Amino acid sequence: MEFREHFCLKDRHSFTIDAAINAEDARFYFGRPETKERLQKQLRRSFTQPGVPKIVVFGPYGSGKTQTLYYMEHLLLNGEVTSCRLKPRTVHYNLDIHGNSNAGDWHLQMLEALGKDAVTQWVGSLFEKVADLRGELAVLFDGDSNMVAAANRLREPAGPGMTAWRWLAGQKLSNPELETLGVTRNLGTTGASDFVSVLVGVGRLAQRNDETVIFFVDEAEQLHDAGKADCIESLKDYMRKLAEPANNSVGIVVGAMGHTLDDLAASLMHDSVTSRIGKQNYIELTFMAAVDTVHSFLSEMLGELIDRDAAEKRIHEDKLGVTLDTYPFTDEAFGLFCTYASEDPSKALPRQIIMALNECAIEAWDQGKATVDESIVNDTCPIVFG
Amino acid sequence: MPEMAQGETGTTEGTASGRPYVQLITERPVERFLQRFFLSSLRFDSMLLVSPIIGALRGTRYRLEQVVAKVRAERIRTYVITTPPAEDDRYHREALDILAGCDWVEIRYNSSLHAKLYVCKHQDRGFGLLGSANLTPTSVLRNTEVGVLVSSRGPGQGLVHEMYEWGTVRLRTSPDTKLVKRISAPRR
Repeated sequence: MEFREHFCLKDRHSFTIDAAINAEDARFYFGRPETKERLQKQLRRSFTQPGVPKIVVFGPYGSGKTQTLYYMEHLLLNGEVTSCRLKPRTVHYNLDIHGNSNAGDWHLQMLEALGKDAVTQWVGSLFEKVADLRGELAVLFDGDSNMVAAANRLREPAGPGMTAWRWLAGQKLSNPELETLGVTRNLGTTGASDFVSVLVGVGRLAQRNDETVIFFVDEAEQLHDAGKADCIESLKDYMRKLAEPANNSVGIVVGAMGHTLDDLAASLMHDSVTSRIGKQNYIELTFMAAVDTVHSFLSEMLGELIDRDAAEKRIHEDKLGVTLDTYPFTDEAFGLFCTYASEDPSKALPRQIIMALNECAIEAWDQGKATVDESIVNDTCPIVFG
Repeated sequence: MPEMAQGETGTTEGTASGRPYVQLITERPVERFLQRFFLSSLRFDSMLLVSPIIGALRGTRYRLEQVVAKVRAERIRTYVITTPPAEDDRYHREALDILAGCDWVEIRYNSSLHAKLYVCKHQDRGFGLLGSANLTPTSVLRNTEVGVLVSSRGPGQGLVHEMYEWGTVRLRTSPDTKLVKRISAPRR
């Protein structure tokens, strides 16, 4: 018998939940009703004012930041945010920052994550719709002739089109390349605002094509890795400009590790950024320090992952002596597990709980037991939570 | 092209910031993995060693006893999956005895195992090696081996996580995999 069959698992090989590997898992958000409600509320409000979401999700390692980002993306893609009138174009990526990274590096990652094809397609569709593409692009890019020239040339075949994309993504072009492209300078010469202007223009371009761009930027604790003062300043300027009310075309939802707001990098927690994003859009994911919280988390999770019909049959036929509510745990083992999980607040986190659940199940599987009993929980939980 | 250390060659795939997250290692890939394990500033919480044959790594730069000493000292949950040793295979048995002497090591046998996969993790960070090399001195010193080393930067993070999940969950719970020795922790 396979592990999944042994524990009546539904559509999965283990108790692991990982939306990065299995896109279907994005729909799960267990045990935090207040946070869930707040996420929905802030997303809903954001499309009314300021027009796109600008949200920072933070919490300790394992608190579920990545899952939260995927869940928010899921809400958008499944039409559960009714205030989002346009088709959401979500872009999910992990930020990669090192000592010398600046706004240009961040911008390059944003554009590459969005992809040349998407932007080229929007320009192409607009070309089909309007008589004067350059004039239309001038409106979208606030009259910046260089941005208009580059965006316009995206439609051209690979060579020139790629040069235009490289310019928009902030890569440094040689003078002959600039000349051929018909632009007078490289992007970024006026600082972070230059990059954000391109991004905002691209966001407007998407809106003209009935789409709204929302970036989900994970691992933003990497902003701490920026070492030099001018790099930190540049990254902060980039975020500040994106947070400006004037940007109502590009949404950004950031996930960053941090126990408190003060743990976040300057780019995310500087007054000039927080005042623009708004404190209500900083969403903290906390420990599950109470037994009841772990209980709810685990109950909801098992409710989704276990094939209830198969489990009910197994419980009945094999006389397992457990209830469907706690299966595959015995009632006592379930309670004990929740106690272990909440004993040390710093370990009372979704990732640890899921890991411990998997380890308990693997231990039962090794012992050929159909259920997880107290002895297994006592053997396994100290290794994970201890 | 980012600067490469000795033994790192061939294709590298970088993140948008230019730093590679995946590198082809054509010289002593297992030694390169162990080097990272010993020299990394990360304090790993878990390690996965999937190798059909394991040797004590005598005569190489990093011996198995040294690996186990670090695992014990830093309380690194270590999952070893290998093939069951033949009756007369003293070489493989000796290595398994070394590993079995550590409370923080779990050993499982899988007689159909052919994969070679090594992962070190600290929370969301770490690295993994997937390639041809067994955890043996022969593969380090004599054989021609190749491996892909993935670091948890940018897109590499998901790859390392998938490698780890495959080994620690899917492979450990495969019907072909049998537990030989579990991690032992103080019971309350």
